[in-house]
Amino acid sequence: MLLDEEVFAVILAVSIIASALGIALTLKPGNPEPFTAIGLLNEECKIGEYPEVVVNNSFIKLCIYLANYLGKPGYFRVVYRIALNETLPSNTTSSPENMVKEWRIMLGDGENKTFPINVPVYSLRGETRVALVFELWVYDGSANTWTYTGRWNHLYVNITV
Amino acid sequence: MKYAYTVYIALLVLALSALPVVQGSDFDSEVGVLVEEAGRLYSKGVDVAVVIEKLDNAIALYESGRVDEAYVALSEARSMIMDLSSIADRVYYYNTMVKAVTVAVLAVIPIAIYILLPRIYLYVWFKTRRKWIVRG
Repeated sequence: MLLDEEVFAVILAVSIIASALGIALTLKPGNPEPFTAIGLLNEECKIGEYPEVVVNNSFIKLCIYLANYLGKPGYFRVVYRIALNETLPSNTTSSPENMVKEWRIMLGDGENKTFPINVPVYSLRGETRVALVFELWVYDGSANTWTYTGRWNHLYVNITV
Repeated sequence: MKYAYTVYIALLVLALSALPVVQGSDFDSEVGVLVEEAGRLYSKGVDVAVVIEKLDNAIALYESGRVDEAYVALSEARSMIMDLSSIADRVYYYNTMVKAVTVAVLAVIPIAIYILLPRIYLYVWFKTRRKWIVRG
């Protein structure tokens, strides 16, 4: 045979693997692992250099980063609370503290958004060290309720008078 | 017995209130319905970027206290969804067809190589050597 059989076999094997891979990629489901993300950024919308000491009853500037990889558009809400060490949220339950502020955001699938926020900070029940908690909630249209996603961020600050 | 029922109902109410869910407002419920609709269209392969932008605009208006304008934006988003719904099935069938053709073409490639490669190679081999002279 003019075309070497071994070379021909290798070319054929490569074409079969490439074809199988291409078919798998074409038929793969849209988003096998849906997830959402929330990030807390500093005043310049960058990671790091967060405020550590804040004057009681003052405002601080931060940025919130949100990402939607649910495989569909999502209607989100970021809830801001001031909490203590024992009232932090978990991956399943939100913080029991009162909501201080909230932001609603609409995100398409695969979209993310970073936006600046200005939040009040004050001492909670006389404590000088508080956690600024940002929880991510998503709207469940079928149940007509806001559902806690289990995603949250927090920043500890010391309160001065 | 009555006391037991009361305790049971009280415990049920307490358990439900402990769940991390919050009832949405009328505005939220309207946005929620439209988001569900947009999600249904998106799953059929329809580009819903304009609807998302309009809903985001409505939310921004609502958050800034311009409630009437927010509801106008919501009704615009609703009519956009209705327009897109009319082409959703067509887009879905087109995308399915494109996917099926892509898979068929990819599946045929190894067979085509198996059948055609030796023949093409032979053809090229002879064509490049057709002016060769064989000397005895």
